[in-house]
Amino acid sequence: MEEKYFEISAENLKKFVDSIIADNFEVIAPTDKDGDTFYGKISRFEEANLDILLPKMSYKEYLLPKTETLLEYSFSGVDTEIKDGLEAVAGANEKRVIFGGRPCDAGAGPIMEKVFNWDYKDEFFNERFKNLTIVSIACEKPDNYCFCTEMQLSPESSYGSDILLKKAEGKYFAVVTSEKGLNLIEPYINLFKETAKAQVPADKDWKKLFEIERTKSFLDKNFEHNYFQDRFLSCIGCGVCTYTCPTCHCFDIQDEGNLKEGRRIRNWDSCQFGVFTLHTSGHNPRVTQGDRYRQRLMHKFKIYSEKFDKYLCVGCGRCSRNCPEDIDIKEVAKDLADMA
Amino acid sequence: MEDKDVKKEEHKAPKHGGDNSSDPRIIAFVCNWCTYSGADLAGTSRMKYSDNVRVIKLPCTGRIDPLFIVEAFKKGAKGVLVSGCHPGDCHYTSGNYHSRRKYATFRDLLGYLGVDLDRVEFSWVSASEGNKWVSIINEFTDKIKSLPGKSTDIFTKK
Amino acid sequence: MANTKTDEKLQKIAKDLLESGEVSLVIGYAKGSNLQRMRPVFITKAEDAGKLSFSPHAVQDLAVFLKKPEVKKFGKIGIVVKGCDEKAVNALIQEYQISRDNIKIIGMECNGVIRQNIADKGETNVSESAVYDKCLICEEHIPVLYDFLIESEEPKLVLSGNVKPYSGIEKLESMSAEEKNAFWAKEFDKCIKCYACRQACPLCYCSRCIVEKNMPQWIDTNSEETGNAQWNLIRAYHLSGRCIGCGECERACPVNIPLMLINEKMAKDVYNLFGYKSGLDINAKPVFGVFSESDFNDFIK
Repeated sequence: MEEKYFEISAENLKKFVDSIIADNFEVIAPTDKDGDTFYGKISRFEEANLDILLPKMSYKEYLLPKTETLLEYSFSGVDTEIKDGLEAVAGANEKRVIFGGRPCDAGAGPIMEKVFNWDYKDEFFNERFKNLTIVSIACEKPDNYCFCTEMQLSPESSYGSDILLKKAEGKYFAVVTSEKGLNLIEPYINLFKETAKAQVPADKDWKKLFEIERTKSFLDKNFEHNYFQDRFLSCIGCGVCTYTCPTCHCFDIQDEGNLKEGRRIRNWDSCQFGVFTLHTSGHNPRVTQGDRYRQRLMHKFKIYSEKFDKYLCVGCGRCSRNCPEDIDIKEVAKDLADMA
Repeated sequence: MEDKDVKKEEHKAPKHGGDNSSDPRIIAFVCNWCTYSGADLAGTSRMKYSDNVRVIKLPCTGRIDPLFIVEAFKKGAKGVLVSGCHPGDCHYTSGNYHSRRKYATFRDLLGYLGVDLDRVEFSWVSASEGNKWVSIINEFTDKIKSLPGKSTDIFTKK
Repeated sequence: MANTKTDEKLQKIAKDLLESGEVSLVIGYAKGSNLQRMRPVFITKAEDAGKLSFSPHAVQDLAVFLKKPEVKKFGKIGIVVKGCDEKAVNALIQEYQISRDNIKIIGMECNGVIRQNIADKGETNVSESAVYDKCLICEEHIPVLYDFLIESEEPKLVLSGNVKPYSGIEKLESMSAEEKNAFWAKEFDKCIKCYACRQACPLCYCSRCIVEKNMPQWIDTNSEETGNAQWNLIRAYHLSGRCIGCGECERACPVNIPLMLINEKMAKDVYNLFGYKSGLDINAKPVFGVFSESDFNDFIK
């Protein structure tokens, strides 16, 4: 779809959000909880915290829930009955809107979509992804941990958003990039004023601190480099980086049940865990935490881009902000680029 | 064809029960030396006690890992009893003393996290106390039956 | 606000230790990714000792690294610890995880560390409302055991008594079983089972954690109400009577589950029941390794 541009006042934006909530949309927005900000369901516009740069966790769980039931079975003693988990997922996100996320979070969706549709089409992911409507707000002031510009996005990128809001002089410009976005605002179109692209403030000239291609070229040649073992001695393998990451998507399929009934589920998993690569034989190809963190870097900045033409990182910086031992991935990526 | 019929016969649905409050399943983890013998004595003396209880025999209360209690609740038990030798009588000298420390703490934790402590019980029953065994089981069963359904169960799906 | 005098003393000690060969590694703090952050640093060469620093932003418990196989390989290790972290070193010695002979403890007098989420917003002053709850109840501003002690140049933490540390415990204790259940159900619902609480804990050192044992599967793998409750219960139980209250689990938790409300409650109960506090004496036997004939018996029929 060709992009469409609208103008909306701050007051009308509030009206718009309150109206879609009134019309039974589940609106997920950054909201204050437990002393921090998380994505959560809001019941009115004021509950959204749009001043915060990024909530502590990403909204990945709406695309890939932390635990997803793939199938359920029950055994009556004679017959076995199997229920496809997909039935419960159908339409799960039809009436769900992510409001007030940032362009980095929005960029994660289409990047993840690639791996979920590579050889096997993951119907669970696709069903959720196709229905989820994403209304992002462009960032005015990225912080020191942000590096979306280096990751081929920008604080004002509309990649992955159905609607991108850009704040300017007390009002907002809405860049609508998809049918889904258009359908969302259609019933409330009187709150919006259509405008021309020329009226929307142009993107600022965001500076890059390093070239990610250089990081990749270092990774291409230096699998055995000492840097990884030395630098990540301070990694405790907590996996917070992977669990708060909007693009990390590894999962583990498990069965839970007994003779009568049970289910097959998939749970989030992390390459930072020692048992992640443990073989049945007892051999573990990634012995040290350095090996495991290197794997994360390789997957994000090398392997994924070779296969899917996109880096598996949107530069949100959550892994750095949330790391209990203060490992800053932007600093690491820059170090690697400098060494290339 | 014949094979299939035979199989059908074998695979008759097992009688399930014990997951409702009128007929609750109660699991008793008991030590081999004292409580099991005590329960045995109750049996050989033809004393009657509630059939809601399922007895699981282990060498010693010291072997009864708190995880067993969790596992029993997970599998749908409505009450769990742990029983062993009186202090000083342990077949292995001190297993019950160690377990007493463990359970004092574990019980606190369960209560703190919102498990109804009426659902977990501990007792010392010696090999000669068939009577005590019977009364403990009967009282415990009555208590469990009087508790509201699933209100404070953190181990199974609500 | 790193104090240069403190830093110099610290660097000198580390330099001497490495030069004399008494240790082959010093684990300490260095400046982090922003002015209000510190990060662990591993010094193996005397000339790198200048990286070491200390400030009220040194939140990490470095004792956690003593359980890492990659770190253990260094043999003799010097470690920079605050009073709370040092108790973890003691507990590890008590449980035979490390040997007192292999460790040089550089104790820092500490008047409290600033909560990281507040520090990230720019807070640099140690005050009652800025520090962690553990600092408000701290009785070990000076570590109980050390080879070197560096006294603090920072002002002492002033307590007005208006901020009640771990006030949630009392509140929970007065609740009914249903209310407690509802409270924890809501908290555990947030859990994503990243096990950061386990990894950040200096005393969670099992080479194979109970959640990784799957024959049988003791803890349900799902991160829904059942699996989450089981995991959090067992984690807390395994630390009962062992937790030294450094609060790293809670700090590492990406979804802000108040884990210290459980850990502190258990520490309190263990003290009330058995008069034992973890990590204060390297010669004491761990509380569940011993028993007394007169132990609490009231709950047993």
